[in-house]
Amino acid sequence: MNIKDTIAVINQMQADGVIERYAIGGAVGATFYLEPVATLDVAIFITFRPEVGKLIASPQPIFDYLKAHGGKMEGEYIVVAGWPVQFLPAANPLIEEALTQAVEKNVANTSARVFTAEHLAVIALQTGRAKDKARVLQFIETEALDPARFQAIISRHKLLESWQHFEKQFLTDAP
Amino acid sequence: MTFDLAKIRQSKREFRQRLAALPIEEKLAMLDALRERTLAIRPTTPTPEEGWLHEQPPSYRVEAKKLE
Repeated sequence: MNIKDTIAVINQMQADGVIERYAIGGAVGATFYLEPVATLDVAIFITFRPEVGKLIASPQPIFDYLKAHGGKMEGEYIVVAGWPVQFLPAANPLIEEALTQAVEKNVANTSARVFTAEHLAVIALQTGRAKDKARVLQFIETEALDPARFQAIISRHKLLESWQHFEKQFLTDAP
Repeated sequence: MTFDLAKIRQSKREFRQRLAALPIEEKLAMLDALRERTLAIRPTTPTPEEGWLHEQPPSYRVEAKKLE
């Protein structure tokens, strides 16, 4: 089980033209900016490449490629180098923007494409589960965010109300 | 050892910042180890039974695209 190998396989899949662009999100993406937190899977956001003659893009070529390279299907995941990987489409404008603006990070002489810290925090704010809120707090406490960039993304994606609620809930001393 | 909560919180914050500042290779190796540990201690029941508290998968707020 080695997540660096998982990333290497995803890079190779991109180099082989199976996917156009990818970025690591979720807890693994957050690990590039924060302390590591236990997670069971890797969230890879991608733009699906529509197959010739088909209107709806399918993840099938990804699964076929990975199965041919030793991957094994497990429910909605495909296990690559011991890690279950979930491929997620850029399903809303925030994730589309995050994917476009993702940054290259160096991992042991290979590269990994990762969402920016600000996008990871805003996606967590939008997703809104307890552990997502904990992640937003981690980003704030670790001072991993550029406040201007973070606020701009919140405004652009109309999440001001969610942010104000979060601030009231977690960042003010008043009851 | 101290029972001063403010000092404990500060110490924990510093520890987390030190972890966050580690090289990414080390942090990814920690993720490998954390995952193995989590799998070792999790219950063997494949799906939570009714009435159990369990985590919901994220929705990532899919927006339906309008067809022209």
